[in-house]
Amino acid sequence: MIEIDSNFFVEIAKGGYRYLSFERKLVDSLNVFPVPDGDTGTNMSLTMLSAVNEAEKCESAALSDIVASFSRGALRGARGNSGVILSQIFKGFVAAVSDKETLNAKTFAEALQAGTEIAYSAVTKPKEGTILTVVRVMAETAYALTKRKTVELEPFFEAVLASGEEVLAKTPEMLPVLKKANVVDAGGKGLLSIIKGFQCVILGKEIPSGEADVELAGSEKAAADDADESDSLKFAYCTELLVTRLLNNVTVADIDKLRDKLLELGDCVLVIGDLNLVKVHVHTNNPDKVLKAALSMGEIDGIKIENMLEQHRKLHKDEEPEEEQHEKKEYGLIGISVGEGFSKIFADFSVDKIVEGGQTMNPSVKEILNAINEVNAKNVYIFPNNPNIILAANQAKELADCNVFVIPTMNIPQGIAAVLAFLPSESPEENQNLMLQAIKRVKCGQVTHAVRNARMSGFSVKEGDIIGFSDKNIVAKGDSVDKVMMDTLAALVSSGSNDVVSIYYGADVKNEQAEALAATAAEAYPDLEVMFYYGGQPHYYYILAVE
Amino acid sequence: MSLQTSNIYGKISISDNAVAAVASNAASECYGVDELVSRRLSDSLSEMFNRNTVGKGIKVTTIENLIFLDVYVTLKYGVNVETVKKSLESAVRYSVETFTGMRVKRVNVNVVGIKV
Repeated sequence: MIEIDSNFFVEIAKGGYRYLSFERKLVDSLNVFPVPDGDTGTNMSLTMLSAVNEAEKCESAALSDIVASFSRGALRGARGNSGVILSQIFKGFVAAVSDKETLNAKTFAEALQAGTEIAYSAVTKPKEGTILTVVRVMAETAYALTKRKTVELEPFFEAVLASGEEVLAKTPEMLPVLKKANVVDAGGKGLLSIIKGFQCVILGKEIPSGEADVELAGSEKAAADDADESDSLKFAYCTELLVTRLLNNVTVADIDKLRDKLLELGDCVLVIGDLNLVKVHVHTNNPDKVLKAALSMGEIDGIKIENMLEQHRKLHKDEEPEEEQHEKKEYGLIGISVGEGFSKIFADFSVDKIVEGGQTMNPSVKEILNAINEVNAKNVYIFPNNPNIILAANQAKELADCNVFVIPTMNIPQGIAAVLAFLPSESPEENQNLMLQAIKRVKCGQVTHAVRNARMSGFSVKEGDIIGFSDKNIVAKGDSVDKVMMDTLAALVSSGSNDVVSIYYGADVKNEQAEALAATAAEAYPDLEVMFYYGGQPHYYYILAVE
Repeated sequence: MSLQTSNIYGKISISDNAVAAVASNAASECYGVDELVSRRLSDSLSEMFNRNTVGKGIKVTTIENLIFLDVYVTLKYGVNVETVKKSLESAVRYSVETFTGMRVKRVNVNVVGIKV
């Protein structure tokens, strides 16, 4: 299908509404942001209902007129923050189809873009990670798709939806409150439901009726986490109203002035509309002043004032028993690993969370912090397993809310030794001591290839040579991996008393090769116990640990 | 640049000069202000030729229908500069906002001299 006419537009709009009502409960369950002023799914579907009704009532058959009534209906029926933003997105549609008779993919892309712009400007402090981000990314995708060529509507919607889904999944990363609640943004989800409804109609698919089953897992946790925010709820009343029949002397600038005034009274301010109708939404402690300000401009209608504190308390009360189940663990271990083999070894040693990192791919402070939060324990031990990551781990420690111990492990064998030294029955400080002692006992060797010519600790190394390290010093050099590995082992074993040799072979070494080498090593040192594991680390052929 | 707005009767545009005239009037009536000082060459020239300079000592900038004002004044000797600046700012803001009905975003008061 290339384009759609005005009759079909109404069908599509209805489809959007029906699909949203189908998923209404689901969207409601996601609602955590910014404060529980009603329910996002309900608000958005009521907004859609009003828009669809208005579009159906429209007497003209011209597409532009129908879209205009659709948008006006959305504005009139807009409820809640998300509803108002939705109505602004539809307002963009009006601008895009102003003189067109049919709607094709290109117009739709323009509509989305215009909608994005208007929606962004309507919100006083646009935040990423909300419905705004979702619509923006979809508009960008739509624009890129239709820039050069005409696209059929079916693949167009599919691509736009896919990009929307993708960015929706990322919203928790952008907005901490979502992350904390472990949900995606509700408004964004609602918008996707509407577009999905559009798509269903275009594809001629059946739209499921009734209501989707809601998986409450995410939201229960959400509310529990959200509860501790009730103190931070600054404004108690979610106030919404329409100003109609504006006085004759009211100018467009007065609408802006009203917005300025409301900004002084509260937050989440939305003042949108024109000289026919102004929609006001604000969270404030002085709804009286809001009404007064609105009254000075014209008649007021559709007033809704909700006590968000009360809603919050209810939520808090319902969830209180829940909170106990989310009791924090006593201990959590976080290992930074490189290579799948090591990750598996750490997981086997009951490390709670493994962050992928390593020589050239150090995890950021944020990644480590996320890991700390995910572990959800009172005492968290971090094993950086790399000198370059210790700093980041220490910074994450500063930022974390719980008790964090950074065990300065310089390499993975030290990390493994430290993990093995961990005793859940001991006190946090005692454990730290145990681990620090354990890592001192481990001598570590690494076998890799030189990437440039160098002269170091008496060895002159050419690019491509196989070299063996003990700590920071080169102890062996040669052409054959096996020989260098044996030399390195010899250097490690030569000092002090040793019991166990562990060989971790890298991604570049075959299993049989490593097995043969381990056998050779066992023969060479009969009084030592030689074990070999798959480490899967890149660049390093072997990592050796001698204890 | 000028300010644009509209009401049910039609469009309204207000030129920067008109805004400057109102601001200038309000500023010169303020207590403690000796006179407004022109900072532009064109103002000084027209002063030289005895042409009346409306909105002298006021610089008006309008961005997206927001008004930014710069006021250049000399004050009388012996007044509290801070206090006069404050009252000047609010007086100018009030008269410009009520006259134009538009939003004044900022009023900068520059004291360029003291009349002894």
